[in-house]
Amino acid sequence: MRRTVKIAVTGTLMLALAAGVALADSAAWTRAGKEAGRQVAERGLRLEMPGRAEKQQAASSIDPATNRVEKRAGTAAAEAQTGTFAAKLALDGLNDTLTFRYVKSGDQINVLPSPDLGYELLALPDGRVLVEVAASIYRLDPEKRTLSVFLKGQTGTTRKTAVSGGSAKMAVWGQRASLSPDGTRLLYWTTRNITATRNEDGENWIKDLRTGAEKKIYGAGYTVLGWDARNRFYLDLGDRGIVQVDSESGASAKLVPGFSVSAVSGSHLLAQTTDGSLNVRNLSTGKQQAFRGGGLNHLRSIAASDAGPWFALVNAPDRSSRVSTLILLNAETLKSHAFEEPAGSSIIGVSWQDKQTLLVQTRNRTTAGESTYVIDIAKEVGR
Amino acid sequence: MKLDRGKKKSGAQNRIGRKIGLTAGLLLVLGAAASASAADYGARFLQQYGVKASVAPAMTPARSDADGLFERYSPVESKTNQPRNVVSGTNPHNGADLAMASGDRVYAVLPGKVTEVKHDTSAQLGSVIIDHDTDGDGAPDGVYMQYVHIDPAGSGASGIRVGDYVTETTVIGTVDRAKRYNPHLHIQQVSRGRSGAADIQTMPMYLFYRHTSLETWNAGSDLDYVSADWQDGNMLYLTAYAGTDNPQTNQYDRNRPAEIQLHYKIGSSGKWKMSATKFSLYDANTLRYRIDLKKATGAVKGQKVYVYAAAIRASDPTFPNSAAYRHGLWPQFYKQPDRVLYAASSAKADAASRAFTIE
Repeated sequence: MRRTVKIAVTGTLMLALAAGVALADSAAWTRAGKEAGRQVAERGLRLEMPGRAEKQQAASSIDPATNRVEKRAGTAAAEAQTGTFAAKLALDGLNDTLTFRYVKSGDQINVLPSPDLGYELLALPDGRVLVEVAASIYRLDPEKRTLSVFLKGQTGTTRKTAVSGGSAKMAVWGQRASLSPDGTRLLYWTTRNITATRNEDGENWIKDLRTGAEKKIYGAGYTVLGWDARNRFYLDLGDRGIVQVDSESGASAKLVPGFSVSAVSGSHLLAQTTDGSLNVRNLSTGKQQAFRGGGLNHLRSIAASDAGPWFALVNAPDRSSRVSTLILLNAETLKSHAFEEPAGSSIIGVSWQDKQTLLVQTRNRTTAGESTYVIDIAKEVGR
Repeated sequence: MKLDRGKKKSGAQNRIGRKIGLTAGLLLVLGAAASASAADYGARFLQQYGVKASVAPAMTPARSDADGLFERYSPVESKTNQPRNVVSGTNPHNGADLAMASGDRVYAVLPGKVTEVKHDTSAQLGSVIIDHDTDGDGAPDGVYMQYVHIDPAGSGASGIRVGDYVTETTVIGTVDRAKRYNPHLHIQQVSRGRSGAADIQTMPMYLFYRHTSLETWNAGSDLDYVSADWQDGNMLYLTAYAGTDNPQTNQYDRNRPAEIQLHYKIGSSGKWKMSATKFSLYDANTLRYRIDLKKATGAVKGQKVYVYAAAIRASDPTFPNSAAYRHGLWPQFYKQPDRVLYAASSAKADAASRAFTIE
């Protein structure tokens, strides 16, 4: 009997080791701070994102006769009073009034990302904000509450276009803006040359924020993974891999040949193309290492901090199971720490507030309640 | 509330119905929600009823950050059940088209388990179907979403494959490059986990996005040509409009229908006809319409009326010069020969219609 138990325990332990579970720490969640709802950080500001509960409240607030949603599922500042202001968009033939949410920090007005209001935002170093709306990018001055033209040639007439020999097509003058780390260059995606190229895949353009000059820098538009310290940006081309593009010269290099689960920090690129292994590339030296072990199997997602060496990996020990583990990986040392999911909950996503603070969004599988754990990396990895 | 999915319910559908009904019942006040069955007359569309119901508050398939946490409400180029003047392609549209960039990452809108992956280079390109977990308990609920015109994430052993469990921050693929179509994501709720299933049907999408604002997807109505039916006494409410990319104005439009007709018969043995009364615009912002069934049909209290509505599209700026195909029906269905379902026989109209008892 004792031997049977021993075999069973050993077997369980081996299975657990194989799955990486035995390496995982479950106590981190009790040490971490815990906030209700889904929180993320943007420019150091903690934001409450609309989660399941807020969306359900919005759905149940609908007036069935008018079909109007009375309670909005929107973004709010987690630790400050959220205000709103309106600005008129009377450009390019548009005549809209846009509402913006903001928080005030001293004299600074920080406009909050608010996808539910129908546009995307990007903050500029000078305190102004770029607003992506109506297939183009406009500049918002939060102090004056005015919107102005930002991209060259951005007029209602030039934006209209047609493909010769075919039917008229819409053109995107600018979208998906991303700022270089030094704040001098803005990357954006456009289909403005659709008439000439007859291709709707679009192009990546750079705007020099010092001179205002704009030029095409790379071909078809894909997800921007991030930038490194040398003002090179990284595009995820899906099945065509990951490319590194110099935002000054346009010189490009393919770093990953095919699809990968990937993320870029200021210093490293992580890309998984094979279960059980993770390629770690130092973006300064080009040196590559393979990370294995630590419970790593199939990655569901990776989150990179802007500057820090730490990455957060949402790992599936068994890719057919709902169970995930969280792996913290130092890309310089390849030191890792694994955490089981909080008891009774599933990890929804991860993001970094800063290089020291990780936010982990979770959902309770019984109540469907969502929470955000705030993990101090120094405390956890120093243990 | 009970969601009755029609005459040909499978075991899986029954489970879905119970699950959705339970979830919706727990989460929402459903006093106003309608309960009825969708007729199955060999059509490819399946109607879900109820203005208050929400299958689940899904995330958008497009995101604006690399972590996949910020939702992006892509403009809608074409809606489910929307009539289109295209010569090739499905009429009415068999799903919703979201304007996205070639190569944009596509995320699962809810957690769930992958049931089909197609690495396809044909006209429809690749696709993925996911059996979504709608209540967050970690188990799929038989609520399927199909993501079409994408390159599924990777191939071979490391790529996405059937049986994978994904979360809503998992990239399931990227929007395919312009091959036959302009790059976009075609997304649809389907009744089966395999696209080749003989009885697969397309269902409305708006029930996943009831929380959305007028600035984004208008309580989900941006995704379905006719949506959000609600009955209050003898008054029947519908939201109906086309969503389209308009190259003449370079904007995405919400186009009001030219008119919404009511087709009806009084009593099961009555004769089908079109009412002289049309739906009237009730709320211009949300494009909400309504009709008094008693006045429109002339039926008296206690009589049962059978009705269906035809929303006639005013124009199609995306395809202005092609064949004129202008009607989308409620309850929705697919490849109908004509909006007058009773021209030759009343069988289709009988099967398609929904019954109301006049108060």
